[in-house]
Amino acid sequence: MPFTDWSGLTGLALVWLLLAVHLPYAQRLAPLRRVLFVAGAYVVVMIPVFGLSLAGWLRGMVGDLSLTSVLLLGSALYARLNSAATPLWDARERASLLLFISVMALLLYPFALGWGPLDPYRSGYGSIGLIVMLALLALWALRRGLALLPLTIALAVTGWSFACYESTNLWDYLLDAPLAIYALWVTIKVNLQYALRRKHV
Amino acid sequence: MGKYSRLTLLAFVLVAFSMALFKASGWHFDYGFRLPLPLPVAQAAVPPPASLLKKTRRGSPRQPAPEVIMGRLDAHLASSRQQTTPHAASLIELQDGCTSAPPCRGRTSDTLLAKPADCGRRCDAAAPAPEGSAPPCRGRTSDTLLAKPADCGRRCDAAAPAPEGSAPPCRGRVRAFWFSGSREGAADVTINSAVFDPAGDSWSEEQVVTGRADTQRGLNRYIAKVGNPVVARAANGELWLFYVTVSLGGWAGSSITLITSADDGEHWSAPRRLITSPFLNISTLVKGAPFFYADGTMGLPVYHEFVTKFAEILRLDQTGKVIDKQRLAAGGRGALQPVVLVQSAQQALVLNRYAGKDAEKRVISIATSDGGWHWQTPQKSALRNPDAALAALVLDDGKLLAVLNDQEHGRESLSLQLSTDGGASWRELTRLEEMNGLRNAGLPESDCLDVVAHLLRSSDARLRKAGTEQIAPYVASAKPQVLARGGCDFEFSDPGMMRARNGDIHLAYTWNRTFIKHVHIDPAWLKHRLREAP
Repeated sequence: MPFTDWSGLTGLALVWLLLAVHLPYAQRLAPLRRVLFVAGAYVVVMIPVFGLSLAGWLRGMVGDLSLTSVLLLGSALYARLNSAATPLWDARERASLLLFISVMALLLYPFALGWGPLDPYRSGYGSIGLIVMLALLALWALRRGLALLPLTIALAVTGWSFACYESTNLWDYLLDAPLAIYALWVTIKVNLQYALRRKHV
Repeated sequence: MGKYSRLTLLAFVLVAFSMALFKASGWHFDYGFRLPLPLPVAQAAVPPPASLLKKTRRGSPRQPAPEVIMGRLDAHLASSRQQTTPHAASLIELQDGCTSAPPCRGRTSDTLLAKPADCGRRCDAAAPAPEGSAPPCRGRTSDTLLAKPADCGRRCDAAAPAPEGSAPPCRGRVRAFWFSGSREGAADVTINSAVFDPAGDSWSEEQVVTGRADTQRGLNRYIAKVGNPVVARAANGELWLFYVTVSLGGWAGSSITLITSADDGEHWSAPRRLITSPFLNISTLVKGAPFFYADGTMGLPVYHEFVTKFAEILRLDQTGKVIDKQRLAAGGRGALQPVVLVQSAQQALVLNRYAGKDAEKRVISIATSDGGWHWQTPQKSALRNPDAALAALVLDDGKLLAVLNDQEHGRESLSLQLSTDGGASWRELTRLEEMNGLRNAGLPESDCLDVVAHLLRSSDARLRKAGTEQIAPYVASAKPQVLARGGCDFEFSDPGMMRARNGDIHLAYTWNRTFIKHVHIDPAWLKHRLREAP
């Protein structure tokens, strides 16, 4: 199996693994057994049955997940496996990342799907302008004391540099459609709640 | 976040972006097109022997009164399976060890005005065929409009050994690809292929290249259906076959897959997915033939159908990786299935199927004059288009040929059109199919099937003299499609066209969603029609 297939399938396998650790059976397991359970589940979702694995089926539906999604899914799985009382990333870190993803999604998808003559997706093919913009954003976030956002951006850029996925486009390492929908939903919900709270105060 | 964690993260960010900038700095391509090698359109490969030229009173040679050969336009059925619905043919000439541009020798019909004897002389010049063993001259003589079969019937290139030190003769074989199954979009649809050998004037048996299950296994992801194969000869000589796959929904959910062959289509590599869209990588479809940029990268005309429709060009490097994507027109203009016509190193014209809502349905043309860096605003061309695919190519002298349904509604006719002014105006060279008016004519079923049988006989030399029993399976295959909508309904669609090294033009199209029909035009026929055309 080519490395890019393995990396893509593993990212999607995280979705199944996260679902698996939410099963009542998994929640009753001791931490070490839970890790073994997840390892076994990984094998199960990666092995093709009748020519197709569960991860492969999901890959057909949504394509490879971005490294941002993989990082978030991996963080969530790690927290579940460790029964951590607090999430790996605090609310500010998460909100900043999801806001970044939401803005990027709004800048990317409508135009990439044909709204207007310009296609921002094109800038993902080795555009130095996009890379410099992301570098400045990551450094700015670091300066603001954020870790998740610069880590995510740097991870995506590294993945693109080493061609970890089939895609040669940097945007595909930064965000994907399911993540964009999730980020927009959370961002809108949080801001609406904040606005409502202020109104009542 | 602690100080050391912060410094570590800063170091990671700096290293990551340094690597990315290094990679991006090597990401380079140029604009400007690579022109195809010039081909000898309707020119004699070998000048007529001096002995055939009569002396004039002044002593200079004079052409004898010519016996005009008007050239040939042959038809065959390329697909051989019955009871299937094949679609969307794409053609490529096989290498067959013929590595250079020199024209195939002995192409008798290359000469418009040559006497038949010239033809034979040329054929025989390479190697006289042994008595009784000579195959017919590419088997095409029977369809020559005016020439007599005996005029050219002595040899064919395939049998003739090339003179020492020269390039081997071109066999002129052509491989076609299409997709076929119980119905369009069904899970049993496969990408099929067959080879046309001019020496035998026939197509090989249809073979399966790949299908849904093979593609799913190779791509490690769920695949529901396959379609739209487009073949190209890569810079390294390999065949590259692009086709679309769909995992969810209709054709708007397509993605492009690439397989390659180092042996002209006998064996194929594992499939590779091209990632071309940020939204689930869906809705990039391929139909038009690829072209080359001057820097050796390949341009692949593609189009987008999800939410809105527009045409694009993907640029692939020599390994088949996508390195750029360029939108030709904003969404909403209805430009689909672009066909790129490279006219010079800086100029190209793109003809697009029109899928918009305007009452006046015309092919959309988009031009560039700076090697593809910028593309002009889409314009309506003079070509009518009923929201159907078209095929086109550029001749050496800059004339353009297009095959399309020259009507605003329906696909009951197919026309070969010519433009001598770079696509500004078009005129019909010949009507390849014409069945307009039968749909609502109230024809009884038996009469309609008689028409189908007649059309089939004229569509393949093998069926020309076929009896009722022999042609019955073909008619039975066509019957469900022709009678599907209640009337006697014909459809000729999805053409593909290419030009071989010897100047022959091959086009293939979907014949009533029942067969792939191949039309073979030689340069003499084309030159004759070019002269005839006003």
